Amino acid sequence: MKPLVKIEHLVKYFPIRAGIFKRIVAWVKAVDDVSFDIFEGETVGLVGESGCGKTTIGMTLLRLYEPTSGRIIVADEDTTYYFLPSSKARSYLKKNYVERFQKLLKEKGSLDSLMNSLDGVDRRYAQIFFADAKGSTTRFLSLMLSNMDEKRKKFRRDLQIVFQDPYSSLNPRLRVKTIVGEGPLTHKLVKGEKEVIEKVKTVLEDVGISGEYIYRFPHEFSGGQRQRIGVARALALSPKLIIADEAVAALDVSIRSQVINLMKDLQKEHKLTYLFISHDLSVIKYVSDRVIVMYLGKIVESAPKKDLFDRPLHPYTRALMSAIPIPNPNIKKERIILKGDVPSPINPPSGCRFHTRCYMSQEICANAEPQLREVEPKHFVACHFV
Amino acid sequence: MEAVLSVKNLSTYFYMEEGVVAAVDDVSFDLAPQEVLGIVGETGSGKSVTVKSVMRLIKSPGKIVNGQIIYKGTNILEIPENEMYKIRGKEISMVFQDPMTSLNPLYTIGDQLMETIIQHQSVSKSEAYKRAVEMLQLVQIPEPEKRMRSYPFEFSGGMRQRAVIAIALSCNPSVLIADEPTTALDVTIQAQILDLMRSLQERLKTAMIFITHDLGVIASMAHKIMVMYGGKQVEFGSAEDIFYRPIHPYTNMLLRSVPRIDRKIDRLQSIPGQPPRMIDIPKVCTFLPRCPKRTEKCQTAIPPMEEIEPGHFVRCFNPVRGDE
Repeated sequence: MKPLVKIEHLVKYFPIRAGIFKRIVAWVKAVDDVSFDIFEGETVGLVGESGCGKTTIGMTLLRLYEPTSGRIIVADEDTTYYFLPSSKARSYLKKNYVERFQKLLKEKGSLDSLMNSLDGVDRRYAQIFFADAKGSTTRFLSLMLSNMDEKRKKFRRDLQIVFQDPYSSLNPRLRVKTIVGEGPLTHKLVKGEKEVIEKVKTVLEDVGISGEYIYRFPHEFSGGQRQRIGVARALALSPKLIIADEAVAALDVSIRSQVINLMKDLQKEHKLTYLFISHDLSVIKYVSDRVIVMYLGKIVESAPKKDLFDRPLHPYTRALMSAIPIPNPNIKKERIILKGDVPSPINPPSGCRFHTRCYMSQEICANAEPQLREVEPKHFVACHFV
Repeated sequence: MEAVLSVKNLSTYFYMEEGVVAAVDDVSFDLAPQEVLGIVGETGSGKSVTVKSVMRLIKSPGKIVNGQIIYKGTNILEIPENEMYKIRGKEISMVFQDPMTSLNPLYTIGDQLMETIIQHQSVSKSEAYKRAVEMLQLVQIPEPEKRMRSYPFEFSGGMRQRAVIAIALSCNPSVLIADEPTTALDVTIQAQILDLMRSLQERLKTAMIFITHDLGVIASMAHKIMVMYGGKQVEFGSAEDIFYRPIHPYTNMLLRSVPRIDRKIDRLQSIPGQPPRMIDIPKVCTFLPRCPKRTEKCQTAIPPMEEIEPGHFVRCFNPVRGDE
């Protein structure tokens, strides 16, 4: 399997401004050096408490936020520069590719050994630089910056999102036909009124809503049905990846299971890949193939679902799991009650960000930041004591 | 044991332009001293309106149209409003879902605690201050004297909910009503608050009504559970009854439709259809349109609450039996 999305060293800081000159006084470190892959056809569950950066990752991946630094590769294309103003895109490409390739060439001595040292996107872009552009920076940049409109459109079509709140994510003034049909029309997947109606009816029926309802407004539907419309809107563009950001959190229990099951069925039928963002470990356990646990802007643990739930290794993951109430009145489980609150991401604790609340914390935790290590095959943990 | 609070045939209707909403319809339950009663249900099932009726906090267009709420021998629906002041907040107090909106942002935590104490107990200001500090200690807020001078915005969500609990318990109530007290909190903070509420309940022996939509939370808190759907009680029993032997089709399906961390589930059961629109609903079981066990008989009347086994009640003509 190859990765559909590669997120490399993603950083997103938000400035806090104050005073009459709106000077930047501090940064909210929402996402701080996060790397992970999403493979085709899988569901990655991203779990953590409020403020851990899970939503910011989704929004940055979709480029609703621009990353502060890092690289986002989608379907073997570096998409990081897609939505930057052209001067910034140029300097990004120069810094990340041209200068790096030139430096590497000096180190390696020959073009062949340079090529062999690279893989994936880097290798392809090196080929473009040295072969197609014949080593000329200007030609490389113009090759990379050509057809930007098409590239952006393709990106927007491939990545779709389903939001948490089905009440605020659908425009109350538009009919379902427009809400769902707008995307396919913009991307010229359909032409003319007849085809739009056809398309909208098909996707609505895919999500379990009768095609007769295409002229209704959002307020005429219940919460669960609205969320289905949200899913239909994403689905209408035949995306490669759907980001579900707390997509079932606002729904009642009996409706939630309907929507979760629907999303699982659609995944099979349409070969979708999901990034499923949620605070609810039980939902994550049910839907995901692989789970990433975040705390204050960092990944603390990531593993295939079975490994993570059978053998959680990071103390935070364990505490999180023990905090989930289980619908069984006689279950006696060891509860790990964490002290205090999640610290502010403006001034995160030194060393391991979890050390202020960790029951295993020692001196080293405050001083040195633990790196994410592969302790078992595919099971990554960032803790000094695992 | 004599019940502290006894609700009999309570019906609260809302008279809207579109029609009548039977938000709570013929609900009865007893709350024994030292007992935790859990009310569980989805949005619009009537669980909050039930307890708001108990507190007499229903405002127009809502109206309590029928029933009795007997607190220590008196029907509190019949006493004048100024008598109710003495009960509300002192005898029966309440913790709401969102701690940010239930605290006044303009007053310090100390002011708000002392206000309740002075209102209900004839004590001097310095005595009230002392009690308030004790209450903050009781809910495990660190540095209580310093925190007395803090404003709600200086508290995190979990700390605010602790402060609200302190206010609710400050007059030593006989009944504490908690309406989704942990829904707005993160799971690790929720675990802290539930832990605190459990230990306080055991220590102070306060009878409690605990409302939630979360089946996991209710399992860890309640001795007895009332399940509501569409304004009606559908099932009532001990926590074991409800979780191990659910007999109403709704409860039964609901328990199978939650993803669980302690089990491997291949496919969640889902309950087809939508929750009822509550306006002018027909006089039949509200779960009827979604029920897999419906029969001709269900079309004719609302089933009564029936005691199937001791202490285990259900409102259904075709209850689920055995390992169905």
